[in-house]
Amino acid sequence: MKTKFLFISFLFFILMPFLKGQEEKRPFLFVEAGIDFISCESPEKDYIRGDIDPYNYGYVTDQLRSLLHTEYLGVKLEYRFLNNLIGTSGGLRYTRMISSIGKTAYWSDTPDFFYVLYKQDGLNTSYAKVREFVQKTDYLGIPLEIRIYPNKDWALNVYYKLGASINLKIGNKKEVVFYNDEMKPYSDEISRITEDPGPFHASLYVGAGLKLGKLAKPGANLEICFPVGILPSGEPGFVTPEAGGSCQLMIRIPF
Amino acid sequence: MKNNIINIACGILLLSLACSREYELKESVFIPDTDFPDLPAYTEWGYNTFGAYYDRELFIYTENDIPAKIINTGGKTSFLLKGQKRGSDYSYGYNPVTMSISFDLIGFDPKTYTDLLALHDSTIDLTDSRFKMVVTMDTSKHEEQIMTGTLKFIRAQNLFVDMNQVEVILSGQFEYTALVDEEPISITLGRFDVGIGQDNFYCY
Repeated sequence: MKTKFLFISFLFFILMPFLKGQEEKRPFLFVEAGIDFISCESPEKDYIRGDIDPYNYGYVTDQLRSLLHTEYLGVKLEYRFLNNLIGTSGGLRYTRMISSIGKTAYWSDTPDFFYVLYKQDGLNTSYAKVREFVQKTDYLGIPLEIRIYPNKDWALNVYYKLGASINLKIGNKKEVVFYNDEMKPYSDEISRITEDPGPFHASLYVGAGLKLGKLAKPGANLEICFPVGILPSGEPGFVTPEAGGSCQLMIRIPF
Repeated sequence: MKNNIINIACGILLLSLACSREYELKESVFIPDTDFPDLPAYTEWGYNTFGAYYDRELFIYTENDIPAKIINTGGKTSFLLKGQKRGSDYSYGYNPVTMSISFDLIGFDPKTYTDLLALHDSTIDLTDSRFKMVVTMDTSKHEEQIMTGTLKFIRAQNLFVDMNQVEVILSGQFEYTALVDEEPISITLGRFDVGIGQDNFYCY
């Protein structure tokens, strides 16, 4: 319901320039690329055995981490109105969401492992030593954004933005990094126990940006968003996102 | 100074062991029961824990002792739980006493730890006249005169890790009432989740 309300609100803002038919429209094409880093709750999974907390020895630890980041590319069309004070944009965005359990940092491998219960067959129970579960999910989405440009068109402008995107899943790939390489043939069987991502997700973000170059010529925009929230759909997923931040670079081409 | 060095060395060793996690199947992982947080929750993961209330005191595993052993000797098989008895609240009466309970597994003659799978979904009536239960507290040992009670092996699982068989996990519950020095006592809410492998299965 909340997502629907936001979607309608943004459509309204997108259509505003068209409703003000008498005003001169100033369209810009944005080619964007960005990355979001989202913190997640510690994973509590029925299929992961509890570990001992090295700092509270004997007790179960919650130090196993879930990490989530998204990388995206897209194109947007922005219309300016109210004397270039407000810009609204919409477009198409391809997003790859990479979520993992077990990694301790985004860009480094983990040296450790955890026990995963992947099969119970009669009286036989099978664990695998897993370093990391990874899911790479591809989405096609529509970003809708409003920018407020409080200053005149200088070569360097600070502005503010509010945005949301609704993204439809188009693909998903699951991977398992094992402690013992001999377990690789069981990768499909073991990765199947992890939760599938929902059919779509929405993201909401606010931020500030830096406009480089005058409007009349091609230029660039650099944006930092904080916070960024991700609203997954459906049942509790593989990871439970909380909030994070993002960085976006856009090439701006005026029509 | 020497003690400090030993403490630091032990700490580093502990942390390095903690980082490898290779050993964790043999260690105890305490997950508190939601209703009785002094006790470990009933689990079936082989967390090497057990706990029960001995009247109003706790009978619970310790980090120092192997919590469970299966001993088959002299034509008799025993299931031994070893830990300590202590006050349930650390603010009073914290005076731990080493304690163990040895349950007879009547008519059960396992030769290897994998034979323990036969215990899956089985209940032992502790009031059976053939049954004997020995309780040890510190150095004193006595046979308890059971009035009511059961020992349930809810689940026995053959555990494979990375396709290699490592142990059998026994998970279950127990409770009983008994006469001790002519005074009735109760063991209640007993639960165990222990791994039995080559290092804590004895047949001689």
